[in-house]
Amino acid sequence: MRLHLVTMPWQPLDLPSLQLGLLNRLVRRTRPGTEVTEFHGSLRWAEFLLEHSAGALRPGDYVEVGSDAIFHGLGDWVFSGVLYDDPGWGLDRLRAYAADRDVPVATALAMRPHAAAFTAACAAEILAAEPDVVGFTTTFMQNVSSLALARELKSRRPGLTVVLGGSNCDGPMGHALHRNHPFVDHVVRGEAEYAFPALLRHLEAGTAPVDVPGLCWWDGPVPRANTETRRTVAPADIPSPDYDQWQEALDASPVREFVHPKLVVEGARGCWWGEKHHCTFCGLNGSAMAFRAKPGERLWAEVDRLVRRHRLLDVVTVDNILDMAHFRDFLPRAAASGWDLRLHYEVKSNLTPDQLRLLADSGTVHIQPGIESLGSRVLDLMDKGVTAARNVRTLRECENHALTCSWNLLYGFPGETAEDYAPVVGQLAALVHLQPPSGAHRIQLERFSPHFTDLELGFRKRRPARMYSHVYDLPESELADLVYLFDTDDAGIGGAAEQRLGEAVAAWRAGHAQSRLLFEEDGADLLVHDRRHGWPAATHRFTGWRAAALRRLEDGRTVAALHRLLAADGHPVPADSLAEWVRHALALGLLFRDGGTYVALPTWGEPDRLPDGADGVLYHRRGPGFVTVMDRREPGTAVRLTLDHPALVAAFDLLAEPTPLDTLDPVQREAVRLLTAERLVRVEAGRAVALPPRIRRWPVPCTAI
Amino acid sequence: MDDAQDVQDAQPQGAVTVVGMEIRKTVVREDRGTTRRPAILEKRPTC
Repeated sequence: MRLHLVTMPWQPLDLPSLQLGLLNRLVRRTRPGTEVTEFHGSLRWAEFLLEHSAGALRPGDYVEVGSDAIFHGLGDWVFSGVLYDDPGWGLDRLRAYAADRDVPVATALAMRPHAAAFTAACAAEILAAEPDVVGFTTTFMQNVSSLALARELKSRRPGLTVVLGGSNCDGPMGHALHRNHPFVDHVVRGEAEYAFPALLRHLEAGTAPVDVPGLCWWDGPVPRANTETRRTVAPADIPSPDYDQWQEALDASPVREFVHPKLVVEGARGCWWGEKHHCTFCGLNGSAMAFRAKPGERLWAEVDRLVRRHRLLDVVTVDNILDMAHFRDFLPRAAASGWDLRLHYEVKSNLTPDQLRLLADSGTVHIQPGIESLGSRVLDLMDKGVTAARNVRTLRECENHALTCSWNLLYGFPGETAEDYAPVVGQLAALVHLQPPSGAHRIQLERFSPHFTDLELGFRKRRPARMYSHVYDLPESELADLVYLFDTDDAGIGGAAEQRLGEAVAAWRAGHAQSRLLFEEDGADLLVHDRRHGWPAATHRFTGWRAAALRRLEDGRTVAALHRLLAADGHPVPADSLAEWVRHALALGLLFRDGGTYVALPTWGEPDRLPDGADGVLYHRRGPGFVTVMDRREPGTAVRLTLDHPALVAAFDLLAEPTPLDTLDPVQREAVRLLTAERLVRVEAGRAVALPPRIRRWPVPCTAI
Repeated sequence: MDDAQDVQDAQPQGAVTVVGMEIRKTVVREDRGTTRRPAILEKRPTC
């Protein structure tokens, strides 16, 4: 059997498809006779646009349409004209939508004329390999490009078997995708590790796949949808991804000149918090909430294998939540490796300072801690399992450990009031030295979330999000099953409270880069240097019990608890004096108040901040048996160099110190010649020295260099 | 100073070409949006 696995736009260009990597490995393991070919339609689309627009539509435009506009459906709309055989399909509705919401659509409009020829070219290339089965993976905005190609393939070769799978096929969405698109033979709903090989066995035997859980298939003209299983895939059965064909495709593509590729790994599926307390707005885990994690030893073996094979040190994890066991059995391995990894993680926000330190030590540079709000009552409403005080502490510790922190401030929860926000908004100016949210956003209604499944939570009226009207030519009753996002009546705050929140967040974002609030120890005293935007520049000196109190408040305490701790520390302070001092520190903006809990806000150590687009940077990173160099000395370019020949790496290491040329052997001299040609070594007065320093601490944001 | 020329000038006889010893190089054009965006996948505007 010949199997093609396809990932279509708008898969991110700098990442391999985990789904293809998993299925490739799985099929080759379970069906040694099957020939597996990957088709990276996402890369092909970016190449096609470059070529056919004479360089006008570039990978940056791909990102604008395919990632930045994901919640406006622009990327899907680009391919709707192909799916519905009408280049002008949905154009008026898109223009009306864009005008109402102030969404720029010029780039999408410029791309659409290329979509039909691209789809035809893809079909021709795939069919030239004479596959028996073509399997598409579809997540978020990959539906329409996949459907358009599937339709083209079937029209050219009706005997071909087309299969769709992926997150967009979970539950009723997969059933609707199948029954509304007769050119899709099968839809795998839910995890594919058991179902997909079972389907391939049926296809080979020519038998009806009646026993494949969750599968959608055609019984003559009748669409069938097998009952979905509650059984989830055991961690031992989740393959380790194979990215060889992706690497090959990228190496051959002009797109490589526009991206910094990263590896994608999967340490866990599901959500251990969601199993107990499903955050009310979250639908990300679909129908498979059950948490499963790979043992840390195995996960590290995967990372080790991929890093060595691809010579890449940037690793993105797709886990929706970090397994707490990985603090014991994975992160210490990463920390002990000595490699200059850059790990990107989603975590729960109530991590301890020690856990955040271990993350930083392990090479984690970027986390998404699901902070969501700085108001404890709103956090309670969303069943988040964390307090505002903890969230603020996490933001502060991110600063202490140079962790880039991505987060959003959410509002619009049923039951929240303006009174919940007033004390928070009033304190945001004091947090200006901590990393701000990307913005303040009203929550959306997501399928699979408690807000969606439980009408009692407040979102009684719902309809498919308006963007789908310019994406699909389907009645609303079908869209109600097919789509992930829904429009609802606004809940929670609005009007002046919403405006105040938005303005305060905008001010935070505007003032952050030049703001500092720093601790400094001066003997037994504690200094706080206040250089925050909007605050008078000042240095405050705290002595005796006041210095001790400020340190104790780094963990977040009530005044009563602080009073007891100070007494135990040998600082018997009158309660009214302590309360008065806390009020004073709060007024100086040195504390954040969450109900009765106070958290100290100053950070330790000057933060490393660079503006996005910083040039003039040269550094190297160490991997197992190789060195990578980033050279941004020439403005507008980033040269990525890899040294992996043992003699070359040895010479590079030797030249960390100025070394006389006449002490080098012939091989070392050849290495010097190569390194000098790339301006990585400077030779002067008969001595050679390597120029790129090793980077050990990343700036915030970590992507700045 | 031309570093490469300097090395060549200073190079004694007997330098060798080592099979497979090369520097792999990709010149990345700094295109907006592709190289410095956060690596964590955007799953929703609200997360």
